[in-house]
Amino acid sequence: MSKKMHSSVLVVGGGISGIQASLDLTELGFKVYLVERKTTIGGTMAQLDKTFPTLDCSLCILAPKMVEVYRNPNIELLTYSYVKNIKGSHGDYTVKVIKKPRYVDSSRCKGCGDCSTICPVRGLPSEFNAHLSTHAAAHISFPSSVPPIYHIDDSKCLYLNYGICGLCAKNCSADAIDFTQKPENIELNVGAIIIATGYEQEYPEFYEKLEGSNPNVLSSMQFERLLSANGPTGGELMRLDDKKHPHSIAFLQCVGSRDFHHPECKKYCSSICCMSSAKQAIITKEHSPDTECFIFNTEIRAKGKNFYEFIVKSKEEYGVNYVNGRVSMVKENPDNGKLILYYEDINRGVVETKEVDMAVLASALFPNKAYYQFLDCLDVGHNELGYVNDEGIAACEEGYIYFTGYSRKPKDIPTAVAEGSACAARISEKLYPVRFQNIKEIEYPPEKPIMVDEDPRVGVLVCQCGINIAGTVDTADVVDYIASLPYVAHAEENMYSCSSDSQEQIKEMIKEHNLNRFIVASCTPRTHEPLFQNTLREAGLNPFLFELVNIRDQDSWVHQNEPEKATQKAKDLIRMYLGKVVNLRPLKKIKVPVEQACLVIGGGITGIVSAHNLANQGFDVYIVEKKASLGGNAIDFIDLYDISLHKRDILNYINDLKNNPNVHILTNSTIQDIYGFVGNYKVKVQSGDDNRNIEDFKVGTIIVATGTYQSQTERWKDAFEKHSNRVMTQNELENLEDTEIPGFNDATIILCVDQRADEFNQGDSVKTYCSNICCKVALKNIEKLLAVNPNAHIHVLYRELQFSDLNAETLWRELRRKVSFERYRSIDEILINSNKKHFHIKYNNIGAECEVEFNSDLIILATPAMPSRGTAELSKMLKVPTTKDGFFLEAHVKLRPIDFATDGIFLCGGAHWPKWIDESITQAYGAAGRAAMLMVKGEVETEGITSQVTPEKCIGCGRCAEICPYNAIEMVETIKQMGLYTITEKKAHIIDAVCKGCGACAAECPLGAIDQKHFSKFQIKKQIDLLTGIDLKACQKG
Amino acid sequence: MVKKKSQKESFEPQILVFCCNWCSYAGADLAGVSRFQYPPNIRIVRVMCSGRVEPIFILNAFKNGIDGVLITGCHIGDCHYISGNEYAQVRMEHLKKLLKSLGIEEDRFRLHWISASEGKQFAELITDFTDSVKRLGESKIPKKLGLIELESC
Repeated sequence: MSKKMHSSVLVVGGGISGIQASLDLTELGFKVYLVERKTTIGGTMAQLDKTFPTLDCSLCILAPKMVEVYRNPNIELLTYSYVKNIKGSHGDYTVKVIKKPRYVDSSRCKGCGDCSTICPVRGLPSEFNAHLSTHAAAHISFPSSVPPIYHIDDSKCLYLNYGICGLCAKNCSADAIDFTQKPENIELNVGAIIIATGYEQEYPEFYEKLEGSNPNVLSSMQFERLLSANGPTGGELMRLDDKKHPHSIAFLQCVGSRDFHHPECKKYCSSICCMSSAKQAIITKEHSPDTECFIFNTEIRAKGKNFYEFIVKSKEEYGVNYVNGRVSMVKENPDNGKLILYYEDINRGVVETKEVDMAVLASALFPNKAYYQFLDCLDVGHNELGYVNDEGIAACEEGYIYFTGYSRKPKDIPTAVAEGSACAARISEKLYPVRFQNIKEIEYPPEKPIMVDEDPRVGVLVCQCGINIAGTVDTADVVDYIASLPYVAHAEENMYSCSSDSQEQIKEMIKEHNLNRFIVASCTPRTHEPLFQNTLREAGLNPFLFELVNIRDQDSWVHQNEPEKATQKAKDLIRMYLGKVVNLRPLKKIKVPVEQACLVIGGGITGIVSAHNLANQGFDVYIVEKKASLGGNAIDFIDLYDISLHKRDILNYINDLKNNPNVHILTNSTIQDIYGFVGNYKVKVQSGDDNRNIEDFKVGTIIVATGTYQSQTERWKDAFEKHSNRVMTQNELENLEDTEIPGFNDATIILCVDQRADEFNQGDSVKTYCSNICCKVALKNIEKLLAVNPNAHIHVLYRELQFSDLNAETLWRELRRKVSFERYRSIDEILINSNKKHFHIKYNNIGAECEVEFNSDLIILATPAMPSRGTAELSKMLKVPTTKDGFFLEAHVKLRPIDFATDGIFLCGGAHWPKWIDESITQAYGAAGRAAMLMVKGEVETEGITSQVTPEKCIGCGRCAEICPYNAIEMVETIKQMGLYTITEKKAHIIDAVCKGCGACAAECPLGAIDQKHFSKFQIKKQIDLLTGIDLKACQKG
Repeated sequence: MVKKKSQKESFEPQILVFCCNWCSYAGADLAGVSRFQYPPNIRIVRVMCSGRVEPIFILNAFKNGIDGVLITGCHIGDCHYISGNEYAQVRMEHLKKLLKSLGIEEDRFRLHWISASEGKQFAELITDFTDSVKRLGESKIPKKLGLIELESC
């Protein structure tokens, strides 16, 4: 192929999916141009208060990624810019981007906000706060904006429109205001394009019948801002008109969506609102437990890992009320200013009204305008749902253009993150011949050596975290106190230590005060330590000369009513850590070579796709499959349903793999042992029909794609015994040819068998979770059954339909004309007996509120999807965790959905959680991309915090080696000649690359011969000693 | 008598808590993110694993006059380092006996498991532990102030 290929990629949209794709692409060897329409990256996730189902602080987990983008020398960030046109074809695109003028010189702006303070044009609605607050014409989107640069709204600025004012220019000490800026035309050459333009939501005013213009009717994003600590009320939940706390809040689901009757409404389910409202209700309850929360829903759709349990928790632990029924109208009660809701309670079959203080519209989410301009630009169409259609997607992918996040279809954050990684992997597969052509290595300044006799000079930065910390802890007082302690060369406070401008501030401080140790007192090291460590490295300091003291999550947030004591606690904690910090030593991370081969465990679709992608990127791949052939569950399905892939595609993929000399397929195989660490795993596999062949090989990375299987039920056993060929799981039906299905006239599909435990569904055999896929599989099976017997009567006994998928709504509406969907409450209330006509079924119908009975001659059961057999053994071998349900547990539920906490091991598909095939494929690509990131450079850095042995103290007892969970300690024998005697001496030796740095050996050694770096005996002792206070006089003497 | 009681009530114990990086520290963070309030008497020292905690650390703390020590880690079976918490459990069982023979009340020392999702339980644990230390009153060992000093090489 002589065609020109560019080693760079255009990513449109700087939300979480675009951010993930950009970061992964640079690791894979490509330069990224990240174009964002707004003035900051971060997208919707930056506006969220918390994320479900873990209630992680959204910005806290996102901000480090935003900063990572900003610092990455291989990402060119073009904010406040848009794509004007795209020309070219795959591998070689010319893109015109218009960069709008900010009227602020980004190289000069320090983000101080002096321009905004003096700007006389006020009252412009804040987009970030969803119009709940206002800002000046000169402003910044939000305090942690990336880049941290102000901008002037040219539609309202007095100087730009009338040539008067110009106060900001006079007030800017950095001389950054530049009214002469003009739109910039930028031309980019890229090889591939990722579209991640995200979604929008209507403001409540759009929904007139729901009293949208009432200040107490909010959109779900507005409510999210209201809950947020950096929102318009500083996180205080109040009505915006009378500033009173609401005592009752109604969440209205499906507003403007799932509606085929009104053209202004969306026909699909937005997929995340049920979870989002449950989350908001829980946070509301945490703010004030007395506030009553009502969620008015069509049905609750909780599609995702342990999402269903989250809904149950909201009911049972927090007392959130769920009302099954839509609200048709909202009116203000003129007497008391409350809102009257008119709704039907379906469960009780009555039409009712309710008065609440506040209403939150979980209204439809849809692709934003930029998306459609884009589709025009690419000349692809969209379907009646408003999304790019399958043909459009296929055509674009042919041309190396990929859609991700909400711009592909509605989805939640982890799915969008995995998809971002997947796009990067797919592009890497196409552009791999030209990777690293445009990549700049991050160059750090040389590390300043720390002499043994050099006195510590510690810098301390105390973060206010807006008001998160400073609202409780008197940060100025803390700074005064800390500055008076020994070895503290400089201490100060600032608003947001994690922002990118603060990183520059830290570097300045280190230079100006010649610091050689640093403490930041802010939030948690679990999320923010890497960020600050990197800043230290950029300032020429070893990153381990740093400690993060947690004065927010573990202080200001948990002692909100005790400011004095919280302030004292902050002082104590920083003092204790200071005792440690002065004793920190620089540590070296070692570089470990990475074997450029990957082990894929599981040969289902997920494994095949991962392997195919990696093999095409030029890596060696070993696929280990238990069964005799590749293809997994899906290869036995007669049809694949509602995915872009055909069965023949899978067979083609398998063929490709068979013909690729770099791919080693081991079927009928089980893994016997995996030993090693990132980059260097030794694998032992037993294979062959007689299981006698043993193969040993080395890989650098591992992808776990072990999938699921559908369990059998013990229910209705007696009834089923007589006609056992007429009872099957959904999966079993999927595997039958039409001719193999026993003749039937009246089939029944029972959903939620032995799953989704709640107050009605109890018992040891009931799984707590929802398998997520059964409802849509039921649609597939209905079509299958109707194809065999179009006149058959089909009952679907269901509880709530969980197919929050773009096409599912349409499919369901189509099918329910031919099939009766009937709701039941508890599986225990479904009675099945065998009779002459095969089965007699009796249950309590919700809605009709009566007992329904009928005969059926075929029963299809939606039993739970279970983690593949052998998952527990594999998790032990890999030393990776599983959830209580036995599925593998990812490193972070939101932002690391396909990584394990252990480096070099990744997961995808059913191993993570039961999911639809297209989502499994996305994860498969994502996992392949994440694995490729490690292998592509041929080396990785490992932990710096390991244990070390003082050989003089070691007596060779071997206790440490015995307890080390990673086999990282070996007992080394040396032979010593002492005069006439030959002595064999045994000493413990730490294998640094294997040591995970837990420190258990240091605690075990009876002689104190082992110590843990960075958590040494002396360092911890100092922390303890300084808890009670400091003897300043004795310090001075010393 | 009355005076003594009020003294006891106003007594604010100093409590040292060890948290492992992966579970209990995350649980403590979650208590914060969820704004579960608890008494401001604890000072957390982060270690990577509860298996890192040496019994001598606890003895040291009591020697300095600290009123209570709490060690937290992942639930058994959940340890990020597979079995570190099991080692902690064995060591602390031994230590408990030693503390008893030294005359340090049993309730001043506790080992407890907290997972990363147990913010609420963390807050409850701290509230409960602080209360029980408060009931015991101030440690009989006089408070000793610490020094910021460098380890001699």
